[in-house]
Amino acid sequence: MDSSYDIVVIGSGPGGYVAAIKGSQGGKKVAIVEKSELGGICLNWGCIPTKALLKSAEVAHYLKHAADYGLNVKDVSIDYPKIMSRSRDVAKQNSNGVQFLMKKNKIDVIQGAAKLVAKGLIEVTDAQGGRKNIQAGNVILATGASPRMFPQYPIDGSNFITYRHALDLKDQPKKLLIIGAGAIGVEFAYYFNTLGTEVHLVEMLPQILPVEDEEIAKTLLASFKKQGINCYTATKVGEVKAVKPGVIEAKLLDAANKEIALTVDRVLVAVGMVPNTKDLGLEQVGVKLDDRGFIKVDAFQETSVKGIFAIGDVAGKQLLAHKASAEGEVAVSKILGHAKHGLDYGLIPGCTYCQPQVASVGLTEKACKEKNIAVKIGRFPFSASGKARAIGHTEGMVKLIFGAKFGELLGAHIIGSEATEMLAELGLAMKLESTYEEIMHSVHAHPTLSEAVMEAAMDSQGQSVHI
Amino acid sequence: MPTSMLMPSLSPTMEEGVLAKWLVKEGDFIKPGMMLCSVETDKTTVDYESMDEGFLRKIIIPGGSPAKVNQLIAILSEEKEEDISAYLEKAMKKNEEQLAAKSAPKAASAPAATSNGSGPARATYAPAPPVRTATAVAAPAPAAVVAAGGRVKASPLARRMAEDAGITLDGMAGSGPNGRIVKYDVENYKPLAAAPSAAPVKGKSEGPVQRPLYGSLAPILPTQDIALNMMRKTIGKRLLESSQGTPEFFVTMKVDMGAVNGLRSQLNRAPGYKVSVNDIVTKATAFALREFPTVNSAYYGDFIRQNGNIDICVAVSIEGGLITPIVRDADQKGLGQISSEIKSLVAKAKAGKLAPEEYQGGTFTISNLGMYGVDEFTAIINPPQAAILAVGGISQEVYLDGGVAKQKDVMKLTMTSDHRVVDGALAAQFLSALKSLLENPVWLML
Repeated sequence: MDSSYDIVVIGSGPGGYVAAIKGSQGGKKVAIVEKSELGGICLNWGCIPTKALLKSAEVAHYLKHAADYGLNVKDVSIDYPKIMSRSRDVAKQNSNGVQFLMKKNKIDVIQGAAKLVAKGLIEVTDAQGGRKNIQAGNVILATGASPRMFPQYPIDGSNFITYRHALDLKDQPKKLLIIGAGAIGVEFAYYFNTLGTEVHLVEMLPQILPVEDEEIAKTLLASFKKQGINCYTATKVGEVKAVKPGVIEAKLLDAANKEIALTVDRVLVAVGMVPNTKDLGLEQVGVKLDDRGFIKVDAFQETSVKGIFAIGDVAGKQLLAHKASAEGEVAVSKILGHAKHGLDYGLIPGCTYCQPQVASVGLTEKACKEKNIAVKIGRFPFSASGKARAIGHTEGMVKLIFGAKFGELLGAHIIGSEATEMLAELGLAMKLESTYEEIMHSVHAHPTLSEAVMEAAMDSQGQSVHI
Repeated sequence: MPTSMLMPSLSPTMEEGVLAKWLVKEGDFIKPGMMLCSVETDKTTVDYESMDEGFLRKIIIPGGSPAKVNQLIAILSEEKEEDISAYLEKAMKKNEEQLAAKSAPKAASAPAATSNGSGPARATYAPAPPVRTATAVAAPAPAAVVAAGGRVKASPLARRMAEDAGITLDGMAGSGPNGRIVKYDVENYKPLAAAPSAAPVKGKSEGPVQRPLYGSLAPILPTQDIALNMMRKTIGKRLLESSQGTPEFFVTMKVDMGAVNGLRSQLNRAPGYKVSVNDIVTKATAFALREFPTVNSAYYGDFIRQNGNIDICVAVSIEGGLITPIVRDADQKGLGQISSEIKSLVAKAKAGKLAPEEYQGGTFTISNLGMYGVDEFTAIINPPQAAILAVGGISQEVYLDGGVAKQKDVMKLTMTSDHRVVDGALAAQFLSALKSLLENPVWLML
């Protein structure tokens, strides 16, 4: 035995490192095992570096429209490698930040791949093949997920790429086919299109951002089309073949079974994620998976084996960083013996950082219908907001869904330039079980985009002032 | 700088409370979250937690005294030795002005204003040593409806749902942070059984499959931690105090119930009456208490109050706990009246609709487990009362009558007494008087 801990966290993404810190704050001796970079996908290859790229795209967008603001800008050109290196630098800084947090919280960072050998016993193999055993009173599995692979799209990092390659491309694609219009596909579609790539975005389901409210997704679709993105919804991808490096022929089948032929120089595959459950020794210790391959957990994230917890992507449900962190807190509070409630998955916000941004929490209008919940809906378009007009972002709206009987906030959907920042008050409102009254009677500062939230609440009662 | 500490409003209907006991003393350093004092509200006794920090410099309202909501109860200061005299003078003056302003309009509009309150009612309701005054008795409050803006912590949705369902949030256990009542709590709130004659609970049988209670097919029962509601907390606290802090002793006596049974069957032939054994025991106890007023007393630490009126608490089991509604002046009332009052009190108790006046105060308690097949048991004194009577069931016993075996109906009575008030011989004499009354129930007609 080399060392023993109260809690060993496997994986240092936003689920894992938050769980480790919470455990340490709770007075436990904690170690975190990471086989790659601290911070996991989120910090290194996901949330954060993509936001850096998207900011570059937004700046490009502003420059393109600088004349609208009375500024003449000449000779704008794109330094693609610089955009990439900025994004990598941001990721690196964040990863260092986690390193600092681990040190500050006296958490041992163990580099290597972890495997459960027995309950409470973990074998860590480092990059050089060196092995060591660590003992764990409790184990938290936070190993994340990886892009789903399809034999018809052989990922090679040049013709066929995933988000991960897209974050480290040396050159900008000229014509890009993006398969899948979830958050990842949509964000890259906006990013590449804004930088001048011809983008074709294909989604099998009838709407882009399939998990979002239909009306919001339609608004985004209209905006994307206006921005020049070729969007194909309810469209299947037929044969996709690299006829030679950098020349890929793709056939799409639209809803009417009409064939659309495209030639692109790259294909970005963004269709689903699969949990990272391999080589963890799960079967050996008896940790069970659900029928979709995610680790089965109870309301407090405990797996079928007592003392082994799973959080984040590997435990299924929404594959979101903040959901992982929140589950990490739940698991640790259970270990510390003061867990009261599991996570309420109806209160996990979702954000997409294209422009206009899309942000939501709670039920969509369609979901309310399916659940037979009578609702009152309030909307407020940013075109009626003074602030939106002043900053030149009048696209989008706030849509709030309230229960008809008690007036409680059931769902909040925002599309607009700062949607993701505006959502927070609605998450809080839902958590506090607020009704339209608390929202409409909270005085919102003028002029702000957030006034639209108050107005939408008013509108649900037919009392909006500015529409 | 000194600051004022005010009487908190601990329930939506609370207008006044009794500051039962200080848990800190002058000079103590108070931190947020520390228990400061116990406050008896119209519903229950609550420990009041500090939200402030500072040195407790002066206690204005001593333990055992009543105070209105927001009345000045103590002065805090930031520094231990700080001079607070100027502040104290100002605060006292302001306090007096407020009290004067409060009581003036109240008196003018009394009938309307008290409809939601726990009027002062009879002095014996409060355990503190008050003086009997001639204040008008307030109309019994209707079951408190959700008081918007009260200090019950509840989400806006929970408030609306409760209002819609006609449930009061007061006393409901909240599962949110710091006991905040949320949607889940209202949805899962089980109203107290509507009628005392409720059929065996079918509550959970909504599912299609009725699973057996026993045997290998029975579902495995989950282990669960159940949060204490207000009632359980109160029961726990009061009875623990009682059993730990009272020198108790028990005296049991067997009563021949033949005569009571005979009387009951005769009484119940009267149309519209159904007098129970418990009704007769209540009446007989009231008579016995008249004979032994020492038993009808309360212990207050530095004095014993011998109560002039005989108000008998009858323990009623309700969902989630128990409550002891009161038959007032039981010695003055006929069996018919006692019987119908107990019936109505029990129904109200089970529906959770007892007004505070109906369960606060009382001078003696009767607990009857006879209907559950209990032969005899001991009960814990309901403080500050001096004694409690535990009534067992009626069973048959063989006895010899001139060498011939005969059968008689007997019932066992066990009295728990507080030895600080009632001595052994007195308890025996009291039970003996009660036995005589029950064996000669015709005396109850006097």
